[in-house]
Amino acid sequence: MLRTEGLTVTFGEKTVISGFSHVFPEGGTTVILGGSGSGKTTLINALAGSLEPAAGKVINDNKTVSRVFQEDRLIPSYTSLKNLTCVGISEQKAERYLEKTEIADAAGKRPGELSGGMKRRLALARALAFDAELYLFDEPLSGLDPDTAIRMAALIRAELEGKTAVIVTHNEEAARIMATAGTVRLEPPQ
Amino acid sequence: MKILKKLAVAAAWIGVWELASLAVGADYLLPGPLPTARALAALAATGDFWLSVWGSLRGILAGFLAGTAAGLILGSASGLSKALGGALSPLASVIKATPVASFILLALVFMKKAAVPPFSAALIVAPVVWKNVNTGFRQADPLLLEMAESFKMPFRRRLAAIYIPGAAPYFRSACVTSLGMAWKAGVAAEVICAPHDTIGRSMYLSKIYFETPELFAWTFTVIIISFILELLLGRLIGGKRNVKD
Repeated sequence: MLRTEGLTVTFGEKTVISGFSHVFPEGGTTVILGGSGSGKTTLINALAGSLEPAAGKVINDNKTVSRVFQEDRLIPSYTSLKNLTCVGISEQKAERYLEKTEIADAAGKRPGELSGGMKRRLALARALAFDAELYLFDEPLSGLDPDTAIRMAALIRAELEGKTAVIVTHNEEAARIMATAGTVRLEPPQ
Repeated sequence: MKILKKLAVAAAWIGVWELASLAVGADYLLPGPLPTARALAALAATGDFWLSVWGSLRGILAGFLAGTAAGLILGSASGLSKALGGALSPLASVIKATPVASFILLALVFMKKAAVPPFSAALIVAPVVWKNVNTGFRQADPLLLEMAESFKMPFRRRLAAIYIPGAAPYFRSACVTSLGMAWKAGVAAEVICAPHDTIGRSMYLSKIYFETPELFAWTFTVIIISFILELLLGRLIGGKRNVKD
């Protein structure tokens, strides 16, 4: 179960999300769309429990959450392979997901040696390979060229089949591929 | 060219030393470079010299290692526990503010004189390493820590992946910085306590017998060893970066 009831998040005087209520269907992927400043990342962080709402609540009974953060958040001193195994993913599975995200050649390289797009795919590989009850992805396709973004969107759809996920993106075409449980369009509060 | 420049600067200062010595006109008050070099050569030819050097190195380095270990353990623990960090902070401040001589004299009341130099060295090193390691742990990347929390990364892996790499440069700089301090404090303790087969005791004896060239030769030995130790440690654990103390 993942839902919000009258969720309001403020940063100081500024209200970023105002009275947002939504039930996120189980076993499907909900895509959050919206322009800059519409509170997409804030919503993902609130769903993950990283932010305390000013009002309303988030009801989340999923115990394990796999995330793609707004930043890649990779361990700089570890190789790509170790960045996956260090969160408890087996080496075999890690290699498989590096292949799926088209960065198998980078298995022995550290994040500093990778391009922005490769780092993003490494963060995506980590999140997809991690067994969780809930998947929260914040702009998982950012920094990818249009063709790669579409291929990764298709991979996300296939990998998250039957799983509960919320994905933030501004890529409308990718959203159509990934959204198996509908889309939500956020607007900046008036 | 750089080496030539350095040699020229060194030669200029040796010249100043020689002129000052000539102005004083008494080797027992201010020996010049030549009498000092002669005294050093004579000392180095004796077995006692090397025994004293080895005795000081052994004792003070043991103290340095003990202080480093204590600072590392307490610094890591303080980095993870604000309460412990808060509790240890005043103690570290007091230790750093207290003159080394006070600790040496107090330690002499409670322990054998041979144990005082290593103890003094450890006491000098521990707060520096503690503070730097504590700072390193506290500056661990909060974004990576949130990632580790989200992916339920076990504590040992967080330590190895996030905390230790973050604190390592701080630890290295604390070691390199405090080694020289430990060496000087240890020799000072040896001068006061005069344990057998140490540089400090030899310096003390040179002073009371008014053998000033020997005193200068021992001082020169202390400086050279300090340079060598810092150079070796720097090579061993990597440069002097992010010095916090």
